[in-house]
Amino acid sequence: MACSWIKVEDFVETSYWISIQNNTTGTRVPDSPEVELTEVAQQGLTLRLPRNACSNGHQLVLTLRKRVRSPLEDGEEEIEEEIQMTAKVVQAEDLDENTRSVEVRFYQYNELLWREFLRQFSGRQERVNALVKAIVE
Amino acid sequence: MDDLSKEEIEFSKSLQDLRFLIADASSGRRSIRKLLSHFRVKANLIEVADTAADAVRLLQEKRPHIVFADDSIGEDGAALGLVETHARSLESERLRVFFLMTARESNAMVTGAAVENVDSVLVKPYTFDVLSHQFHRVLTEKINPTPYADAVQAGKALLERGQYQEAIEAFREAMRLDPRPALACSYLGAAFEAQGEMDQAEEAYLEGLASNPVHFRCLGGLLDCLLRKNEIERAYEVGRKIVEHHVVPMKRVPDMIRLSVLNHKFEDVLGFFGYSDALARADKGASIYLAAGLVVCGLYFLQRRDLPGATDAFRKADVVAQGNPKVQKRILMALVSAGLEGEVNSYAAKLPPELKNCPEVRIAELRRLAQNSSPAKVVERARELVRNGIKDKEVYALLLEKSKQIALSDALLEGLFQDAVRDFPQERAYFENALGASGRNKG
Repeated sequence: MACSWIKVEDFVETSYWISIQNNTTGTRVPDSPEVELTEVAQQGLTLRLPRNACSNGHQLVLTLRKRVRSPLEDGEEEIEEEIQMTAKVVQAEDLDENTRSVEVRFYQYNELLWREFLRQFSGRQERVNALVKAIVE
Repeated sequence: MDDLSKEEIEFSKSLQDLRFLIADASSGRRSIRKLLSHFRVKANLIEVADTAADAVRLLQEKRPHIVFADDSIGEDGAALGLVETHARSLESERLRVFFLMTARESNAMVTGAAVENVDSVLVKPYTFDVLSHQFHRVLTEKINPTPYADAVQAGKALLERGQYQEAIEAFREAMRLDPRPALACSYLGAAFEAQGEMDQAEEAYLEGLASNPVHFRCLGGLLDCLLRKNEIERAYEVGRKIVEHHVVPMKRVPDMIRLSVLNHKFEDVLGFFGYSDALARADKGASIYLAAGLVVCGLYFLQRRDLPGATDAFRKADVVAQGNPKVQKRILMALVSAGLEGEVNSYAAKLPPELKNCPEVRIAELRRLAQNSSPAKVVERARELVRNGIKDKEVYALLLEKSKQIALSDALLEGLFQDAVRDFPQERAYFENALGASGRNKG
């Protein structure tokens, strides 16, 4: 039975997840909460990774996926879009004893698709700003 | 400062004396450090917390003006909990800004954060430009507010300190500074509400809505005000308007359930059941409201002799209640009162003995017995309850009434009457009436 007080779409969560293959060591970085995407740029991005996942100069294959989940419905995550990039670690800096912050620069990727992702990221922030504005002003 | 524009240089100067806290164990803290470094914030003015407990301690000790908190810090809701600590730690200062960072956002989550007075929600991943622009924009509005925003902020500070009369004056002053002063009106209403002056609060909210008919805070304030005034039909209409025009934060859902129940919109209450798992995850309080609402639904269906509807509502209430004894007790009492013996037996079987034998349930059983059994049986059961220490005035009343019906001797009846009056001296008239109801000749 539908509930006229609750709009399911308002509870749909959007997030972006990244999986990583280290081509230099030939190992896949296991998916875990320690793998996190924080900052993106025109030709690269910054990640948090387990400390032993990679080092400066390593070549990584990154797969970024947009996921949506509707906790009020089935709660299952659905992958809406994805993009794959080949990148090189240009800076790695320890965050704590288990993780490090890693900056990578792309050298093989679909530039148009990446731009579309960047547009999505800024559009998402604008939408959030509008929601906050409606409450605080 | 070569890489900063002239405007940014001015902006960075205004940050010189501000203190910062980054409450973030993720890689986001590196981005925030980079951002602050970009705006030439001195490193000694930046504190970093890895845990929510650290963040609370640093908020109290260092009293930072600007907080960046990642929603992954601590347990669910811990980051939002820092907003209040931040406000308390800077009660006497006008400038404070709270940024919440999150990687997983929904409209309801963002709205909930804004309602909790988060100034800005930063969604990850972000580009440095977006992060920088957002920081610049939010801080500039706070550091150089319009006269109207400044007056509202001054009033808010007074309101937080409990100086209601001064706050009311500040908000009235603010209202003169803007042709559409809905925000000031919403806080004016809150100040009146805090003093219990509900009519004036309502007036303030309505004045705000005259300038902006869908203003979130005015609608929310008016809803609270009408609920407190027990004007449930009007409150329902306001609630519908909020749902129509805004994202409803989870925190408001209990109000919506309550409104549906009070307005007998039982289809709405049953509709909430479809989302009970999510409600339980998001807000345990909402689950209890929903369970209680479903019990009321069941009672309503019982009144209308819709037994399948009633048992369905009770079953749903039991699922949502997740073992809450108050709700279980209420369900059992309702089933007993309705004489649904099969349902009573199967439901009671899964309850702990202390619950199914609790006085309220035993009294409900007696009440039911009095409707459909012989007076002798009722007398026997009532005596048993009294012997077991369940001395309730209704039990005594039924005992007296049914004892009279089975023609108990006047002496024994008098003894029962005296026992009842001894335990409930204020209820003498009530017991006399109980005896009178069965046509007793007092003598």
